[in-house]
Amino acid sequence: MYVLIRRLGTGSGQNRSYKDEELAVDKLSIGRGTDQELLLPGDRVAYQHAEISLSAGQFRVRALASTGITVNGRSCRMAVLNTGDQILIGDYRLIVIAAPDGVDLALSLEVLEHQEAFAIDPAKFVTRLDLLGHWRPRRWAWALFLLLLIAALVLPALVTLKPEYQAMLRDTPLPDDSLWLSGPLHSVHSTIGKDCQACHTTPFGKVSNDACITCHEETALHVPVNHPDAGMFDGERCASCHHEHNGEQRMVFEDQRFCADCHASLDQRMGSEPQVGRATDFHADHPPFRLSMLEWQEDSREWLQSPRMTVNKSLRDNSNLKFDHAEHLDAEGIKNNDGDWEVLSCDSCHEMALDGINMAPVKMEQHCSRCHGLAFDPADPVRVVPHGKPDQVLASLREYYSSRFIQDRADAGDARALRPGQRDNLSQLQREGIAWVESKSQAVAEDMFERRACVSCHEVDKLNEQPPQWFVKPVRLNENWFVSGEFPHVRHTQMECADCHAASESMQAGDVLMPEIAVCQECHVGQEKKQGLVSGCISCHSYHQFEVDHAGMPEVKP
Amino acid sequence: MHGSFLSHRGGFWLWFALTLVLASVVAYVWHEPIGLANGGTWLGYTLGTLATLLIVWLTLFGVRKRAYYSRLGSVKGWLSAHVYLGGSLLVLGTLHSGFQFGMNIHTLAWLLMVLVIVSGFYGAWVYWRYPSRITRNRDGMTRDLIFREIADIDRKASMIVEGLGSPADRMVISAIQLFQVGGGAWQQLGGRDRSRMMIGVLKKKQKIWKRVSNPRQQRLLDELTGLLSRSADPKEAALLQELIDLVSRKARLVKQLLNDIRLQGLMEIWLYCHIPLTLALLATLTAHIVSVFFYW
Repeated sequence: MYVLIRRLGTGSGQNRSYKDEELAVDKLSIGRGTDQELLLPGDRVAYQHAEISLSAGQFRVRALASTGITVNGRSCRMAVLNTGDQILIGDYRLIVIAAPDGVDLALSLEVLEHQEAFAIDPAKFVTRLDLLGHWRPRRWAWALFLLLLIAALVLPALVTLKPEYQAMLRDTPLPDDSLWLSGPLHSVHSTIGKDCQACHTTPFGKVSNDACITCHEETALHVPVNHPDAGMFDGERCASCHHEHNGEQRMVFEDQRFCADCHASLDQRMGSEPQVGRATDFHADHPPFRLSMLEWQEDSREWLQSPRMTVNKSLRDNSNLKFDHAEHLDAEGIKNNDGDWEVLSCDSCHEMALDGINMAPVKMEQHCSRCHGLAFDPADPVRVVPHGKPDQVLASLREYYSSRFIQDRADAGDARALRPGQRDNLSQLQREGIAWVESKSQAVAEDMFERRACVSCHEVDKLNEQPPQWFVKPVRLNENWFVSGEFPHVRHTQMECADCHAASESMQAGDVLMPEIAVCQECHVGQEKKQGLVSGCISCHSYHQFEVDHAGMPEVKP
Repeated sequence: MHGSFLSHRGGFWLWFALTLVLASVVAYVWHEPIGLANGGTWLGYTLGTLATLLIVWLTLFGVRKRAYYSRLGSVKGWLSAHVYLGGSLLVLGTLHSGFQFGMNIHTLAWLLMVLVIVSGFYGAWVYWRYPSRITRNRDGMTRDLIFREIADIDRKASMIVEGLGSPADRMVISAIQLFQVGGGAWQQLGGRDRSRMMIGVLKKKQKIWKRVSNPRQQRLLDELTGLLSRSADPKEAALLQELIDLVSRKARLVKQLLNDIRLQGLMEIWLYCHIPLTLALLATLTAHIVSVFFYW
């Protein structure tokens, strides 16, 4: 429907000014709300106060606000409108006037009472942060404080202190004491899992050695238990050197100060005489190498490793072997069993042991016999005596020459017939044979032991009895020169043997071919020198070295 | 007595804090711990203790600030020390960690400390820069005065439109009714004008009223200028001209008001982070200290 609104202005009667406005609407809504078709500003008008609608050819006004409307002086909720009707809404008067052509309804509008001027109300607007109630920082602050205190302190503490909550909290996504983890465990300890109490046995107590020893009971000590100064280690903690919760980083740090803080002043710290010299840095402050030698004990007939001795010219190796390294390493070569010249190198005899640390033992059969054959009869160069004890050598010779005797006689066609009953003849032959075999064996043995085979490598003693007896001194090569250090050959394979071992100049088996510390120091520097191959104490030494309570010395297996 | 807290006593606390930072950095570089650098070495414990004491003392600023009768130094002196020593804590706390970070409460405590300090730095910056910007923007007025000016303009405008009738009256009145300023935190800090107004548009040959945005009263000005250009009645044109003058003045005031609310908000908002984060830090720090000694 088309509605004409005639706004009446100032003046009166015919002179009164007005302004027309046409609206095309379904219904004419009236109110102070801005969505209303007829906007009547003013406090006394409701947002949606009334509406005029056309139905069945009649215009009806209907009140929507509780204050209602006044039509022709009567307050009502609804009325049918005819020309000339007056509607009062708040302080506005609407009069239904005669509708001109093209308009369904015409209304004149005038303000009876001048309206309170319309303006914004500053109180309506929130323009300060501190007026936002739910934004108060204090409230958030305390909420956060409590939340974090519970999540980061109370719940983890419950897990650790009350075992009954432990499984419950650790199995749920709720925070548990894993929040307290300062870093991941090393994977070797991964079996411990979340069981913090495995090591942290008492709250607010440092991790005790007992917790470590529960699993690591086999771990060797630094000094023997019966060491007079073993008390020095009271109160020392495994955790002083072994730091956990650093992930895959080594749990023991290659820091020489772990050792140097004691080994700088052992003489002052210890009640007894220290057996090792002052050492604080491999390059700057380390005593010369000392070697432990093998010593044959005649009484107990066993080899023992001697206490470590300083290397000097007079120090001899007592392997009881005769060996000329220089001759064997001759660049021209050395003659072998077949009379050929063979050039040897170190690894012709010395092979690395499987552990990669030391050299495997040198074996006669494997390394020497190719040149040092034990053949004894030029007529039969294939036959050899065993590389064994003198008795075995003699037995072997006797067996050989017995068979030779029989064979020789058979070949010579011994004519002496045996008549029946003549047993003496047979024993005569036997006696002859025994005497020959014995004298031949003794002669060959003497030749081998004293002049040709054995004596070229071994020390042989002879007891001049009838028959004479020979004794070969026991031989053993030292494999444990450095009892408290370890030299992994496998990590030095890019070097030549001769870089450390002056074998090509050694003509005596007794020569000590172990390098001096200066040789190692050419590459290895301590921690103090920043340039070079930085090598802390544990590069060579182990802290946990004494497995037995042997007075001052490690156990050496015979 | 007028002067920035930053240069209080000739920047005494700045030099004090710088000395502290330098000393701890030198100690950290010089110190060669056995193993990895962390909070458990003697230097780590020293830095940790120092940092904890600092945090507790820095928190006490909130108490001192409210203790109006306290004679324990001036609040400005405290603020100066609070800012500079708080800044030094960033270095002390980080060196204490030995740069060992992980997914645990220890790193959370460090992170919260950093956030508190960063929010504090922002606060110091706004306290240093914003008061003058706010004064410049207000141009001798107060927020109340601006509001009263706008309300006065509104009253004048709503009286003028009574003589103009539709559609000017509806546009002006709706612009007053749908005027919007402030509101939630984002609205205050954003400074965007969400004021709206109603305009008549023709839809299927019918005139309907539609809400449109009216930022800084610009749409209203455009519409009124349009009416003015189409007006043939000199009396109506004079009223429209008067209305346009009023609304342009209002537009300037609205811009000023929005700026004032935004600047004031930005100057205060950091506290809404700084204080909750501080308490969160205190809780986490407690858990950190208890837990490292619990699982020693």
